[in-house]
Formats: sequence, structure tokens, C-alpha cells
Amino acid sequence: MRETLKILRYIGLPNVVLFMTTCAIWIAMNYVNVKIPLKTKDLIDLIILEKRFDTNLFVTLACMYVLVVVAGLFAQLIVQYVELNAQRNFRRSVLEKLITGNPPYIWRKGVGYVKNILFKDVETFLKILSPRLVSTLFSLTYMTLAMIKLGEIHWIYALVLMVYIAVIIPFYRHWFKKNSKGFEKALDLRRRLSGIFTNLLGARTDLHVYGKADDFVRFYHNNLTKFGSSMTNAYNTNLRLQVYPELLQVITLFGVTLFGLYELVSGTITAGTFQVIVVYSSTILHSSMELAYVTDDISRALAVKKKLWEVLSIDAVRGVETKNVNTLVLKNVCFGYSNKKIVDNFTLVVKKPDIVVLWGKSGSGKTTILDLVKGFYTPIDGGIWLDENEPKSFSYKNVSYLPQDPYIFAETLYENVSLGRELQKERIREILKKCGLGEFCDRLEMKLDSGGKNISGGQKSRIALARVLVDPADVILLDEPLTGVDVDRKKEILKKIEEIFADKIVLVSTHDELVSSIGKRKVNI
Amino acid sequence: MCPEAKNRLLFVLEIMARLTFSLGPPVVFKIAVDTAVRSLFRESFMYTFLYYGLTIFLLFILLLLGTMNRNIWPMIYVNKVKSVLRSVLRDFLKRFNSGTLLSLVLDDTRTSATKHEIWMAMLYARVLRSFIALGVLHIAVGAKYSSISIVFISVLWILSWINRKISYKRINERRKELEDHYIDFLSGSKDIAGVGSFHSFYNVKKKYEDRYLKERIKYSGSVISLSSLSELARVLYMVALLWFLLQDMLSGVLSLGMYFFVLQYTEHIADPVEALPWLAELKKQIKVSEEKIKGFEREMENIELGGKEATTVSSFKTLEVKNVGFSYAKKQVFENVSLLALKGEIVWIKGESGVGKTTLVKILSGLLKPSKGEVLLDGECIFDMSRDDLTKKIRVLFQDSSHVVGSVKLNVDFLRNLSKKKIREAIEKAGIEDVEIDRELTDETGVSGGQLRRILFARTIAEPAEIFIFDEPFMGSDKGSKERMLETLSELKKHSIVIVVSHDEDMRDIADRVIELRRVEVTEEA
Repeated sequence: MRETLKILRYIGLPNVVLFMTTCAIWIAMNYVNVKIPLKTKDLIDLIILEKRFDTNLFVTLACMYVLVVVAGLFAQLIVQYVELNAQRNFRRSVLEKLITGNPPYIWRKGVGYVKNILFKDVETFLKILSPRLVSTLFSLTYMTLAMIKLGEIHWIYALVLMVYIAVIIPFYRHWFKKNSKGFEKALDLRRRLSGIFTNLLGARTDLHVYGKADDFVRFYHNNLTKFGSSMTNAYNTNLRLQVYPELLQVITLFGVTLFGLYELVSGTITAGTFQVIVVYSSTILHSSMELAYVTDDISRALAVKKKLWEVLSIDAVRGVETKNVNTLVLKNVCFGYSNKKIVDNFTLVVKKPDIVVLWGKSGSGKTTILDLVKGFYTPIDGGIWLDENEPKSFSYKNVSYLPQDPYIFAETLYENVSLGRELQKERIREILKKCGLGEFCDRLEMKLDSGGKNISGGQKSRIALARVLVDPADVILLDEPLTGVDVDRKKEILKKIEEIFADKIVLVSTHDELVSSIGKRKVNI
Repeated sequence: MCPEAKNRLLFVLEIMARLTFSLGPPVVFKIAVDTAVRSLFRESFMYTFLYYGLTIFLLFILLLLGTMNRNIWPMIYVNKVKSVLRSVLRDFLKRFNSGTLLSLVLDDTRTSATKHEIWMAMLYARVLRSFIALGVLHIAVGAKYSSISIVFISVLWILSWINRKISYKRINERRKELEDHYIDFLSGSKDIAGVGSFHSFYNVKKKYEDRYLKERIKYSGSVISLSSLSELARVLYMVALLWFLLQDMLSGVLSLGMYFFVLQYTEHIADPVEALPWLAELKKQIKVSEEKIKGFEREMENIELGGKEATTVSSFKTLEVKNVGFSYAKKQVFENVSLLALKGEIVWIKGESGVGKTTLVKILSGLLKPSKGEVLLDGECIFDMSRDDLTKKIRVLFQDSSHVVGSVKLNVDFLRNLSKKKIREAIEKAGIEDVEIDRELTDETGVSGGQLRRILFARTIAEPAEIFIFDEPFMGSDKGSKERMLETLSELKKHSIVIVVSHDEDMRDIADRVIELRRVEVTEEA
């Protein structure tokens, strides 16, 4: 419960206020609702006992009905808006936590998997704000008020219903837990499926050329079937969960009606009061039954809670930006996974200005060293310092990083280079020229396809270089820059960017003799 | 019995059970109340007992049928996913974003399988019992009640008809657009984190969120107002009904038992208030999703896969490209490219980036038809050959070739059932001994770029073929492994034609023929 509330914090204050407003409307609505059977009782009693019909009473009753409907409309509209807006806030928070706090999570789990969290999981969780669910929970007000009224007629009715509620609530608690376990499994399989399919769709050229598309669908068939059967199990549990309370409800109603009939026969209560008993008790039971119908949503929301919390508890707050970094020190840095060390006792001291080339076989850990300096990973042993600051305490903005296989976004060229930073177009043109992209200078508004499908590999890596160079930090990390660029152009670009590097700390990882020529030092790994 | 048919049968049974469940017991309840009013407690007790006994019995039947029904739909979903996946995988030129296709496979299929879900049975049951209740009322209490009920039901139908006209399509489109952009965002997470500009870049992408939200709110607003209108209609109906009931009780036409009976029955008539908008909504979503799936399937079917019968072709000796030109969206990519590759030769294609080398590779491998000229294998046009033949004869490593989720071994073998020896050889030839063969790759790999490239290289060379085409095979490779790959290429040429597209000057040592692509014109060196 505490975790659920913690996660709900992310829906934002205006949404909370709006949400509270709806809750108030619902409570007021239930209050009016409780009055309706009492008004009907008066009408019936007048007719049966005094053979008289009261028009005023009837009009009041009709107005109450209409009032409840209108209030319901407003409450529904507000909750719908809150839910949608909350989804948006949530997605943003999750994305922010991942990208500024723990990007390796995305690489490890895969894009398809994370996208599933961003959309499906967030939506599933926020279902707990949906009008149906909330109004169901708020019928609790109705239940309490109606129970008091019933107690006034005879204590036995209130007692029977209380026993029913006392039995049913622990029952729900238990089953929600059990049911959400089943959904947890199914939804995790779904996230994994989403990862597999994103990958398959990305590999469709290869599948086609090898004529293996069908075989791979068959190959992953097992995952699909597993997902199908775990979904079946979850829903089966859910259905049983819906039927057992219904059974209990029928038995309770049996008791209440029987006693009501007995009182009616013995003349203790009037026909109108009998009507009140029937309406109240069946509505109370119906409200609690509605909880059973929303078990599906609640269990699923609980099932994704853990996953959302896993992401939302990532610490996204980075340290402050420090100006003028003069030294970068890596001392006895070790990094690796349980069975394999990727970086072992690596030491390097770089003083500004300097360009250091990391040289070594692929898989020797060059990229990992750059990732460690950027702060994506924390070393197992040893330390990294920018002047006196460790990576966790300096801002991401202190270090510019060019990844090994840069990505092109489905935005304009301008957006792709600026990545949202406010930059003068002139500045971008200047850099594009330096990166050998002179031909694009007057096409800044050109729309690029996602993944850079409409440009060549060499152009891609030059755009990525431009990204880093428009607004470079004091420390620049380049992982295999300029791959796929032809030799002449590469020479030209390297000559031009050397002046940008003149007063920086630069680490370049490369296999390319030409690129390595800009280094003042070469470190073998 | 196939799942669909079994599902349909259970569906009908369940509707019948639900009908009996809600329409039978009120009759018994009426008698129980009436006997109680006449102070006949024993009879009243008996009828009450009967009423609840009947209810419990029917509940059990529902539980049984419902559970059986639920057992089926996830499997229907799974089967549908498979067939949709198969059809979307035919888009080998990647004209559609993976994000769009993924939603199609997982979500649209889910929506379309939804109609098999149990609560659809509940919905139909509600509409049906509303009509039955109407008939019973007409016979039992008179035309007055049934005629206001008919007015009420007509209003409901009109409202639901209007509801159906509010299209769900736009939301669906906006949603797909939003998801595509989030995939974009996530794929480029390293680049964004690299320059530390999450917040500013989010603002660039925010417009898609806004557009989606606006569309959704517009839609929800109109749908909720409509459903409230029907809710209002229900209230007015209830008020009118109560008026008639009270008047009839006053004149002594109706008993108290009948009062309860009519109320219980009219509740069923009002049932569709809740069910109809829900049903309309669902139907709309299902319709949009199914239309989408069908549209894609149709589009995919039109893709030419070289449907001709496979023929056994003798070994190729020459690959000839004659005056090939290619233009895309009215833009000339290249023109008049000619080359001749012979068995036992390595042809090296180089050129500035952006001159269309990758496009040329796609043409050579038979994926793209050139706008001009032809590609001949021993004099036969490759576009007249079947895909099966080409698959057996040509092996290509594309620039954007991708791995699949699974072990390194699976990625080299690629479900071709190669012998262990062949796989080991390929791995050795590609120089990836440093990667464990059982290492599992996720959809974002988990190995370095150079290693992944060599795993894909190993996949390409694992089986002998007539023609090998490599597009930038050395991307991200270090000197040692590059040398190993160059050696492998020299070995390959003994039995095959080898074409390599690369910027790497080291190719000079092993290439027998060099083609340099330049903008507009093409020259050939000896």
C-alpha cells in the first residue's frame, strides 16, 4: 500500500487536487443516493396504508435521481482527464529516471521491454484511477450510511451485513495478492515477448534473405504459448475470485430477505420498510460485489507495481555542473560481471589539454572504460575523479560522449544535432561544415527517418560527431568516431576538429590508424 | 473441435445460462412476497428458499462455463499473433517502423482477440435479456409499461448509434505515432545521455504526447457525455415507471410482489445503458484494429517475393551488372553502374558515403529492383529467379543486419541446423573466439559493436554459397580480427564470387578488382 501511494506521487499535484474533487463529488452523490429508498418508502406507505399519493414527494424523488446522474457525469469527466494526464507525467518520470539515472537498464533489458513498461505497465497501474474502480471504492460511503439506516430498522440486518463484509474483505486481500502473482508472471512474459518481437522486426531483412521468417516465428512459439497459458491461469483465478463472493452474497441476501419477510408477515414493519430493506441490502452487496468485478484491474495494477517501483526508485538526481575541469584520473579501476572481468586494474591520468587514444582489440573493454568515465556504470574497485569529483557527483553535462553506434532520431536534422538544446542555426552550420556535412547546411529542416534510414552510415556518424561538438564539455569521450567515413574526408575532418580539442581532455577509443593519429598519447588495453 | 468453434459453443451456452439466471428467479421472488403479504409464512419461506437455491445452482453453471471459456481466448490470441507476425515480417525493406508493427502484432491482435473474451458473452446476454424482459412485461402487466420501455430502448439505440459514429481511428493513429517516438527516444538513450540533454530533448518530443492527449480527451468527452445522456434516459424511464407503478398500486391493480417483479425486470431492460456504450467502444476498437491488420496483410501480400518455382541452378560463374541506375522519390541515387564479377575474384566497391553503396548491395542481393538496367547471373536476370534459389546461392551481410534474441550459437546457425563443426569453423574464421558460444543476446545485444558485427559475419560465411556480399564487414573491428576476416575473404574467393563494400584501405591488398562509386559517374580501375 505504501509503495502504491509512493508511486502515485508521480501523478503530479494538480492531478491530485482534481482527483480529490472527484472523490468529494462521489461521496456527496452517495449521500443523496442513500436518501432515495427512504423517499420511496414514504410514497409506498402512503399508498398502501392511507390510499393517498403525494405529488410533491414524487417530484423531490425525481430531482434526486437526476442530480445523481449529473454529478456522476462531472466526476467521470474529471477522472478521465486525471488518468490521461497522469499517464503522461508518469511516462516522463520513468523515462527521465532511466535516461538520466540508469541508461544501462535500457540496454540490458532492451527497447521493447522498456517500451512495454512505459505504456502498458503505466496504463495498467493507473487503471486504479479509472472511474469504475474509484466509484466502486466510494460506494463504501454508501455501504456505511445504508448500514446505519438498516440498523435503525433492526440490529439484525446490520449485523448480518457486517459479518458479510468482515468475511469478504480479508478474502479480497488474500486473493488480490494471489491473483496479482499470476498476472506478474504473465505480464513479465509479455514484456519479454515485446523485446523479442522488436528485435525480430528489426532483423526482418536478414530473416527474408535467409528465408527464415517462419522458422523464427516457430522458434519463439514456446514463449508465446507460455504467455498464453499463464494468462489463462491468471484469468481463471480471477474468474473464481468473482464467483465465490457472489455465492456468499446470495447466501447473505437469503438471510436478510427471510428475516424481512418474517417481520412483514408478523406486521412489525410496513411494506415500504420491506422495500427499503431489500433495496439497501442488495445495493450494499452489489457494491461489495463490484469490488470483485474490478479484481482484474486491481490485481494487474498490483502486479506491475513492483516493476514500476524498480524504475521509479532509480536516483535521477545528478550532481552539479562544475566549470573548468583540469584533470581526469582513473586509478586501479576494475569492472566486470560475476564470471568475467572486463576492466582490470586500469590506471590513467589525463591533464588538460590532452588527447588520449585507447587502443586494443574489440571486446577488450574500451567502451566500458568510456562508460565508466561517463558514469553509466560504477567501478567495482578503484576510482575515477574529475578534479576532485567522482562521476556520481558531477553532472552528465560535464562529459560529452559519442556512443559507438549513434542513433538518428525521427526529427529534423536541426533537432538531431541540437538534441533540444537551444542553439543558433549559424553555430550548427559552422559545425556541420567542420564535420564534412557542408552539403546539409541549407537543409537543416530536412526530416530524417528513425535510425537514419534515409542517410548513409558515414553521414550518420558525422551527424553524431556534430552533436558532441556543437557544445562540447571539458571532457570529451569518443567511441569509434567516424566509422564508415571515407579516408580523404576523414583526414579533413580530423584536421578541423583538432582545434576544438585544443583545450579539452579527450579520450578516443578506436581501431582506426588514421583517427588514432590525432592522439598525443596511445594507451594499449 | 477447433478453439474458435468450441469458443462459440461455450459462448452460446453461457448466454443461455445468464439469461435463465436473471430472468427466472424474479418470478419466484414475486410469489414469495405475495404469500408473505397474505401472512402465509411457511409458503413464503419455501419460495424464498427455492429462489436462492435456483440462483446458486445457476451461478455454479456460470462458473463452469465461464472458466472453460476463459481457457480458450489466450490461445486464440497466441494463434493470431503468430499469423500477424508472419505477415508483417514480409516487410523486408523496412518501410514501416518497428514500433508501428509491434503495436500491430501485440496490441491490435489483442484487441481483435478480445471479442472472444467472456464478457462479450455477458454483453450479448444483457442485450438479449433486455428484449425478453420487455416481452414478459408486456404480457404480465400491460402495454403501458412495455411502450415506455420501447421508447427508452429506442433512445438507447439512437445514442449508441451516434456513439458508433465517433471514430476511434484518430486516437489509434496518434497512439502509434506516440509509441514510435518513444521507441526512438529509447533507442537513442545513449546519445541523449551522452550530451546530457534529456530535458530539452523531451520538450522536442512532448508535442506527440500533447497531440495524443488532446485527441483522447476530445474522444472521451463526447463518449462520456453520450453515456451520461443514456444514463439520464434511464433515470427518466425509472421515474415514469415508478409513477405508473405507484398509480397502479393505488388503484389496487398491482400487488406488492408485482411491484418488486416489475422493478427487477425493468432493471434488465435498463441493463444495456451500461452495456451498449461499452459494446460500441469495444466494437470500434476491434474494428479499427482488424482493419489495420487486414490492411497490412493486404499490403504485405503485394510484396513481390519472387514467387516463381525453385529450379536447380548450376553453379554461377559470373555476376554482371549492366548500366544499373536507381532513383528514390524522384532523387537520383546513382546512374549507369556497371561491373563484372567472376568466380575466384574479390570485388571491392568503395566510394564516399552517401553515394548509394548500400542501395547497390540491396540491388545485388535482389531485394530492390533498379529503376534502370539489369543484374545478371550467368546471363539470367536475378529478378526472374525465385527467392529460394537466391537464398541458397547468395549470402549477404547488410550494413543494418541484425542479431536475434538468443545465444551466439543460434545467431550463427540461424536455424539452418548446421553441424557443430561448421559453426565452430565459422566462429574461428570470423575471429570471435573471445565471445562464449552460449552467451545470450538480448534485443540490445550486450556485446560490443565489433563483436556483434563479427557474429553476423560468422553467420554469413557459415555455409558455402556461390556469391558473398559484405557491406562494411569491418565496422568496429580491431586490427587482429580484421586480419583474420581478410584472410577468410581470400579463402572464400576460391569457390565463390566475393563482393565487399568498404571504406577500409586494407582491402587493397586482397581485392582483385576495385570499383569506385562517385557522384553521378562511375569509374572502374583494373
